[in-house]
Amino acid sequence: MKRLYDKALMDQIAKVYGNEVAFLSEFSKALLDIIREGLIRDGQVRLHQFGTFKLKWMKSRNGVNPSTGKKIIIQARPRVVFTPAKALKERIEPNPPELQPLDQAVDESIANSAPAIKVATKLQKDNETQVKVAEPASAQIKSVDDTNVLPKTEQVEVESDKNAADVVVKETETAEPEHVVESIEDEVEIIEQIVLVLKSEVTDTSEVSDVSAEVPQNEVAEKEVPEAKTEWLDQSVINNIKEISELQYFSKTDTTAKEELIEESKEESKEELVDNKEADTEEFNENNHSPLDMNSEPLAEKTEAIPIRKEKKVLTPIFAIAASIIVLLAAGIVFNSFYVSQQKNVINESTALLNQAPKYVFSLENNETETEVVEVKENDSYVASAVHVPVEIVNDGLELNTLQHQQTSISFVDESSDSASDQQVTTKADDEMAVESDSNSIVVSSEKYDELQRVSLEQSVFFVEREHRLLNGDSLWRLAQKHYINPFHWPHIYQANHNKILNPDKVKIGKVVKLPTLYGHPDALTQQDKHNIATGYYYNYLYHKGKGNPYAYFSLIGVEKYDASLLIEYKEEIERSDINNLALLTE
Amino acid sequence: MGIESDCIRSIFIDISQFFGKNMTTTEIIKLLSIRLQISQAEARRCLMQELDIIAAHMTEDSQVTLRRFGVFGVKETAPRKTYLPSEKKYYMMPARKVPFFRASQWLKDFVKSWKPEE
Repeated sequence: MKRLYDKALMDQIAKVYGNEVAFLSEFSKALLDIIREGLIRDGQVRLHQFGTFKLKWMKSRNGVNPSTGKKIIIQARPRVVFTPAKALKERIEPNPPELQPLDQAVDESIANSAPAIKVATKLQKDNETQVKVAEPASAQIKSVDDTNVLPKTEQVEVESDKNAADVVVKETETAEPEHVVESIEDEVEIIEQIVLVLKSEVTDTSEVSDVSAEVPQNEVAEKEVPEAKTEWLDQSVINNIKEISELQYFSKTDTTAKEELIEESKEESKEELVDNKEADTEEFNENNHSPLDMNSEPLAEKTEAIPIRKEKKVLTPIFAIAASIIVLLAAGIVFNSFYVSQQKNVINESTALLNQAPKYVFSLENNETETEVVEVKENDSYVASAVHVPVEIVNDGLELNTLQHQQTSISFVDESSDSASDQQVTTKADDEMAVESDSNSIVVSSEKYDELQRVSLEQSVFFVEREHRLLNGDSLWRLAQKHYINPFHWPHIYQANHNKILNPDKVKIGKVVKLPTLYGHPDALTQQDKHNIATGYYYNYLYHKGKGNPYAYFSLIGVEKYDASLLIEYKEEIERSDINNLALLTE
Repeated sequence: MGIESDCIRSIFIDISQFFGKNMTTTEIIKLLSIRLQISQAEARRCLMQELDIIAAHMTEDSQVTLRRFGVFGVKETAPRKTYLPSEKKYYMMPARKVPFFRASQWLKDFVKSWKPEE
């Protein structure tokens, strides 16, 4: 069977209809995305003249694991069901075969089916022939019975000796003539004659059947042959079985007899050595011995031995379990020590940096949001959070317990590296991005992608603007981490799409987002980039202020960090209390 | 074709999604035109092309596998006995070709979150 995959299908469509392969692959991706989303949304997607995809709810049920034979509860789940449309069915089978009546169908099915059924049908046919053969004989007798009285019995007797069939014909012909009965004696004679005739007919019919069996020329004989054969076969089989059973029986008896003889001879020899009483007991034991009795005595011994074996069986798994537990514990200790040592290094580095200056630690915790961040602030360089949620201010001291959480992430920004952008750095980064080549980013053709790469090299730009379709698991934080390396540059994306995306924390799947250009390297941003990012932080402040979040002023930290001039620009729109809070933080 | 116009269109689609109970081809074409930024006529044409060639391969008894979606193919049913209640007779149904779709493991996992409305 031929099997086609995505790529080959796209090639074929391009060949037949003359389209670009890159575009078609994107198209098919988008189509399948939409169908999947539609399935989850409505549970039903209908494609015209092709079919419908439907979700069917399967209830939970009890099942058995075939490999282990254990009972399992199969949990309830949805199942995807596809029902093809009429047009597709007709296309696959333009001329569907018609229904066949069962009589013809049965013959065909029998021809194809196992030979056991053939034999059965043959037997049925044979039985039918038997009935057909048997009918005329009975008809003869009945016809005789119906006549009751015969006018010309003597002629009938003479003729009946020759052939019974002729008699029947004549009797049927002479069924109607008048009754000639004068006295009781005549009647008695007639009855006697009839009895004689009947006897002769019976004998004749038996003779005829025998003759017909011997002579194959007659049609009747040909039909009767298989019947006779089947009878013979059956009888022979039965006889054979009987013979075999008898033979077995006799053989058994013979062997027993022989054994007895041998035993007797042995016993005689033993009797000479051993006393009579002991010999008698031996005889008694040996004569009545049987396979069951032989096993019965040692079984009594075995029953005593079994419990010891059982103890062994119980003990072995305990040892195995204990050994496995010890191994696991050892592995756990090794892993733990390794993990702790790795973690300690991180903590030491962080503490070494944090001890240099007054520290402010903001631990952000909220289950609803996707990311949890620990913020660290140095002398004048501080970093804002992507996810703005209620914040708890920890004292000047550092509580390292927060660092042990899995999703915590630390990041530091060095202001010393805020020098002019180097071309060498940018080129290296571009190469890395080209190798990654995101599958989700919408790049219509490879030529265009090459153009973008060329432009980035010419203008010494870190990242050229492109579009991206948001998928499951995407967030602005993660996109920034992927494309701009530093995830704290996420407002760069939000600033470009603030009309489309209202809530930066929760982004809808399927929307196309514009990833704007980043002119400098993330460690060495240009002034325009800083301005853009600061505006992004400002928009974020506005959004959370509108929602009534009391901690909205934390996003102003980012504004001050990247571009402090914006605070003066939007002086009227920012509340004074927030600026005061900011001042308190930065003291 | 600005960002705002896209926003307005998406809002209208959201409303239609709220009332509609099953996704149809027209809705799929609209969504495709927005996501890929192409005209609806072009989206329709491309959709028909893809479905046409999948169906063409199914007629030739070959399977088409789409990644993260499933397999389209054709299978033969066994001949069976049927009963027509209108004629009160038994008939023999010969072997037929029937199209089928087998969902991939990825799709099965993707769909797990779905539950029927009651």
